[in-house]
Amino acid sequence: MAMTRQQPETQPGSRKQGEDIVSEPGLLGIARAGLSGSPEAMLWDDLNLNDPDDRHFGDYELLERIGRGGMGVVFRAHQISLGREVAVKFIVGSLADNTRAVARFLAEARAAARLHHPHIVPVFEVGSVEGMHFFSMPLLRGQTLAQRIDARKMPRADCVALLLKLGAAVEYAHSLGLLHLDLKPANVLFDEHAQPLIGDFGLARHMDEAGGVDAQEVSGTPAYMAPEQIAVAPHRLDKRTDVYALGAILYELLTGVSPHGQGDAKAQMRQAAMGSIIPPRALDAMIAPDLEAICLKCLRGDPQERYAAVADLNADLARYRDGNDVSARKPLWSERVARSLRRHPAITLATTAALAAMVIGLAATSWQWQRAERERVEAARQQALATAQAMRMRQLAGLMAAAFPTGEATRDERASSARAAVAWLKQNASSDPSTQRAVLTSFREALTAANKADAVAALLSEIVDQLGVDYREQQVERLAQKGDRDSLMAAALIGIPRGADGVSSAAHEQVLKRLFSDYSDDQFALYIAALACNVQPQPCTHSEYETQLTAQFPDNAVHWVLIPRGSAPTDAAIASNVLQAARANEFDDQLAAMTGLLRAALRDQQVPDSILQPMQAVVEQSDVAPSLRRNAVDSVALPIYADIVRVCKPANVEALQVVGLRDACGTFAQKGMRSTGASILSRMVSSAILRRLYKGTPLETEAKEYRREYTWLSQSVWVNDYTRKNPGDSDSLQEDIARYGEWEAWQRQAERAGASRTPPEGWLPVDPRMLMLSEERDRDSAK
Amino acid sequence: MAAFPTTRWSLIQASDRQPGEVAAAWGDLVRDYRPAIIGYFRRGGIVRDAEDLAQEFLLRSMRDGWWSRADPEVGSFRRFLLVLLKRFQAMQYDAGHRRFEVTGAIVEESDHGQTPERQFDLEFALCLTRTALAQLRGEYEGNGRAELFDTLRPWLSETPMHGELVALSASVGVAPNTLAVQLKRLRARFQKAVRAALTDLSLDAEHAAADLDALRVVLGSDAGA
Repeated sequence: MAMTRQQPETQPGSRKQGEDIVSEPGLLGIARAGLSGSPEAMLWDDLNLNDPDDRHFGDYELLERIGRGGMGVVFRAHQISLGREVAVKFIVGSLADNTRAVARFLAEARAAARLHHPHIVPVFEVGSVEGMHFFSMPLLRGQTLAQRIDARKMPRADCVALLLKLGAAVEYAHSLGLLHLDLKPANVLFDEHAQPLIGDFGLARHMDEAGGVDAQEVSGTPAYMAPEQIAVAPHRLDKRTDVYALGAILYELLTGVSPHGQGDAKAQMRQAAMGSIIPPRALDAMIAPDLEAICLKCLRGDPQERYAAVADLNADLARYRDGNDVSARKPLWSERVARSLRRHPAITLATTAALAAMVIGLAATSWQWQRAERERVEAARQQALATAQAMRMRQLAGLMAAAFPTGEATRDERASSARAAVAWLKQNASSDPSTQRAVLTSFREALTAANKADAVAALLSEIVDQLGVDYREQQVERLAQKGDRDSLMAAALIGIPRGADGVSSAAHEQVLKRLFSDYSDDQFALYIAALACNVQPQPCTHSEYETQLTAQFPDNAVHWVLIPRGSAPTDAAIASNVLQAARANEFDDQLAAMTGLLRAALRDQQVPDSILQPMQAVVEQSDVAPSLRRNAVDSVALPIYADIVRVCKPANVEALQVVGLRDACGTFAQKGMRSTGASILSRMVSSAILRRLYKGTPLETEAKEYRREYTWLSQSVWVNDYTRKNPGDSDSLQEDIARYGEWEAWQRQAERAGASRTPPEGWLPVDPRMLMLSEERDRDSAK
Repeated sequence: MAAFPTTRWSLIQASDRQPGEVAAAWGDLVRDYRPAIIGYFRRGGIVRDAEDLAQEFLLRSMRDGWWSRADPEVGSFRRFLLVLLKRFQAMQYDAGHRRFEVTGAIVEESDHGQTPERQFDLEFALCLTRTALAQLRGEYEGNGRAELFDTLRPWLSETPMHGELVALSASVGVAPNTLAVQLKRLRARFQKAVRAALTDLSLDAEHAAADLDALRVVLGSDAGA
């Protein structure tokens, strides 16, 4: 910034001529400053991107100017809060000077931000910073369609495929009540997968109840503007205005030039207003008459003569693509026979025969011809129906994606939405694996386009879980057939039914029985049989598993808490088990050993096509088997501590009047909290028991510190989503759990994520309620 | 979404508004720009208190609904107001022989070489500036930064030397470079607010740009006088 010395006008003696007319000193100079220059210079000439202060705008650090148009300046920027690179478009020019237009623009931008479609550039954020209105979107580094058209002519089939995608996106926007009104090749961007995305809803308007908007001012791009956009009042703009622009894009794709000629903006607007358009085939005779007819139908001067909706345009394009008659043009008889022969040879045989018969005047064959024709029409109708159904599925997938919670939602909320989504997909997609894959792919694309990577992860987890049912059953049978000790133990763990209504399969029951009978002197095998029976949703009817385990191996405290739920234990019985558990020297819930066991048992397993196909919609083929394996291992069972926690609450300890129960609870919990063989769940349950029993003592302080450390690790490993984003490290985590135990494994994972093993001195989570006991949280919420 | 007038000026011209609504909008406008009306009369050559004339102008315009005379071709409030003022002055001059003491001839050039139109524009620009400053201060206040605005306001038209910048930055507790950037942004926002205020008084961007050019000429020539 230049530092030239000038007296500020507030200082005495600095008044200039004219100031005698105003009472405010310095106002004249300020007026001069206000009316001179250009406010846009702040984002253009005067912006120093090397200056950290200058490049910092709210949550964004501007890194590079990547574009400037009539309405905006676009930057590549770093979004600080989310640590990602985005494109930020600031609104400049005459639009930015009009407060009401800005308000309207912001309203429409927010409406556009609600659009979630695989072929629409998502709007991440709409807002204003330092008085500059902006919206942010993904950084797309591919070319625009305008650049592609300039570079080379597109094959005709590609043009149609492209238009179908753009049409689907525009139809989706229309279905949500938004007109784009500035569709043009420069507003179509390609992502890294070469998929087209429509962007810049800067001129978009919300349709009123009559399904349109009043034309208020001439706005748009002359080469693609419909006559009603140019003539303004008293015209109305509606879906057909966007149909016109799509037709103009198609025209340019086919011929390389705008339908409004190659003159300047005014000449093009004149041409559009006159409605005189050179037919595409006059420029390129190789263009199919049907495609020309579709294009010209979009470009009719009178909106009434255009396609009424983009869906109708797309239906005609699909008919053209599939070699069927289009609505825009009645085909010649010779064309019809040739086309029919190409698309429906069987039906055409009948048609040809009928034609021959008609020539010799046989009435009967006339009927035959009519039947054949009806069949042909029905086939075309079915095909259109299937296309419409597929489009509807994609739209619904987009809407489902839109409803998905974003990063601020809890994991439970995301998981719950994922379950609902999978249920919907199962209901709506057929049982054909390839169809499931196609629908899931649409869904994933919609989620990704909406920048809901976390939702994709939640969805993946749920899909793996749902599809994993088949996978797990298959694995249980395979491992049971193998029949060795480790395979049986793995089958016992994998086959534990899930969900509130899950029932153990006969094969699984058999595995548990075999473990009990064949390995009655094997501590690990007996533990797994008792655990698997104890944690399943239905009551465990084999109390002998636990009885045998505690009788033979009483020295592990965890064995005493595997009380079969079917035995309906009294509090006194549970208290008795706690007293026994307190006498044990060890506390090992076997999480490490079980994790290692499952990883080994599931290594190198093939996945059947019925699971492989739909899974590929959400993960790479090479990651399907690892995903299923990770899911199965992640779900390894742990004891249910609810009864122990309840009995060990101070009030219950008092009420039960069991001698030594309070100390027993304390001893049990201290072992659980400090043991290297205890999972994090066991540690946290133990920590809670101690905090309740020993308030105001060093034990409570120690237990709270464990909770704080756990919260820190949880945030480092999960909340920041490091592990989900780095699936390779998810494997490392499991490997570490198997080798070092869960607590140590999380500490190592935190280090991999760039965090320390323990929280910094004085660190507290953003939501301090995370450190509270459940009853403390309840009290806090009730305030 | 129903269509709505895009500017305060087009609201005056809108035919589908209730008469009371338009009258109120007109009243607000002429009151906001009263200093420009007074400025016009001060250089208008009629020897009578400019404030009295301005008051009469306001009352007559309200009573007779002069806004309804606004020709759609007159694309801005500034231009329309000038047309009305000229008519009013001519009317007063004609009547002056009967009702008012007149100097004998309308003085075309003032002592400072200011015509009524130039004086009007000068005051109009100052009114715009006040509107923009008030709007901007409201925005800063809304973000809890009114103190920053008040600190930087005197420097909107001047550039502080380094020592002054350091002293200013110390007074508001930010680094000098940060303050320099804040000042630069305040200036840009102020320029934007002035344009927004002007656009609000015009039918469209084109007319706003024409008014901006006219006001710049007046402010520029005044600076050089």
